Amino acid sequence: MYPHERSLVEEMKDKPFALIGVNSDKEIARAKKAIADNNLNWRSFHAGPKATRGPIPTAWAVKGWPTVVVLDAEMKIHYRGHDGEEATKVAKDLVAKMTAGK
Amino acid sequence: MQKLVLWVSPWLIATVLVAQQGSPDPTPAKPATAAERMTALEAAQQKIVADWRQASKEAAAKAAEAKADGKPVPAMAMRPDFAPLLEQANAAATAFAGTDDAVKFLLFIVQNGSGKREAITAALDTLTEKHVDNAALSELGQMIPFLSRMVAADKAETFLARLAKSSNPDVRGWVLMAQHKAAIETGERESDAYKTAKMELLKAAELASDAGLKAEITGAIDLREKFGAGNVAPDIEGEDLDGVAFKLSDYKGKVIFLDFWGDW
Repeated sequence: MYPHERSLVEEMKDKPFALIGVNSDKEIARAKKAIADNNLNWRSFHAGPKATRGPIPTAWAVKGWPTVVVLDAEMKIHYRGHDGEEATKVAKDLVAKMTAGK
Repeated sequence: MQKLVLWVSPWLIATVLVAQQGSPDPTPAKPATAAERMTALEAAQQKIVADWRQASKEAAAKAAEAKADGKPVPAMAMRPDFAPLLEQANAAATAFAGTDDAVKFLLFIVQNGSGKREAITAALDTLTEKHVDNAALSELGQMIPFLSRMVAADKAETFLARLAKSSNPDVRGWVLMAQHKAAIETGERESDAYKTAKMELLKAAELASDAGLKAEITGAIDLREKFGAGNVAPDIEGEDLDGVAFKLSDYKGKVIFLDFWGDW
């Protein structure tokens, strides 16, 4: 997923778009190493020391990783699932609708 | 490995001592207790996992080498194979047949069956026929919706029917979860099927003492009612990886691609 997400952030950087992570590694150091090694370019919440069982994944009933949720400008859910490509398509369509005619 | 050696050594010592004493009336060695057998089984399992990890590491190194040389990449075992332990587990289940101890070994077979359908079917048959009221059966929980993939369809149906009659509310709750999974995940929200499923599951969650089952039920309903398309997402307040506090709603007004990720 890393290269895909990285280029998505790159491609959308001047658009009304934000890729926000919820990192579910136990150790923040592990996440930071992944960020450094792979030049990851998005901001993440940390799910806390309970990692995949931490408060954010629990509140969002996330049980499979990666899970992607796509929200519109009003934070309404348009996609939730495990298919990064489908999520990307949904997000790009939403952005296209927002920027149409501008 | 260390655990296994520790377990074996008292036996060796005992055997040697008996041989040295040259006991005139050689009584057979005291059979291992259920706990000792389970410890041995778990130690053997840990060894299989450790060996598999080592083999995977070597295979990955070889694969990288082969790839660099432009040769075909050899296949790797995706998960450790516990099949060699099943006979040992089954012997223990037979030795303690009919008792609560047998349940532990039968569950071990179902949980570590490594795709050995016959062994899994036989263990489930005994568990659901002779031990269906045993609270430990709720350990099968997460597997219950997938029984029909683990054993033949007619067997799965038989086992499910037996589990549904358990006197244990957790076991019955897991069966309900299996039965209503599809309705909750994809049923029309306004349909009777959805409403019945939700009502029965919430009741089952109330009666349950298994925290995993409660979470499974509320999670499935939340997933549909709070996180289905069209719902407004709840806010997230937390800290980023540098410890700086921020909120998901800070990004309101943009399309948000929220990615639950981990480096593993």
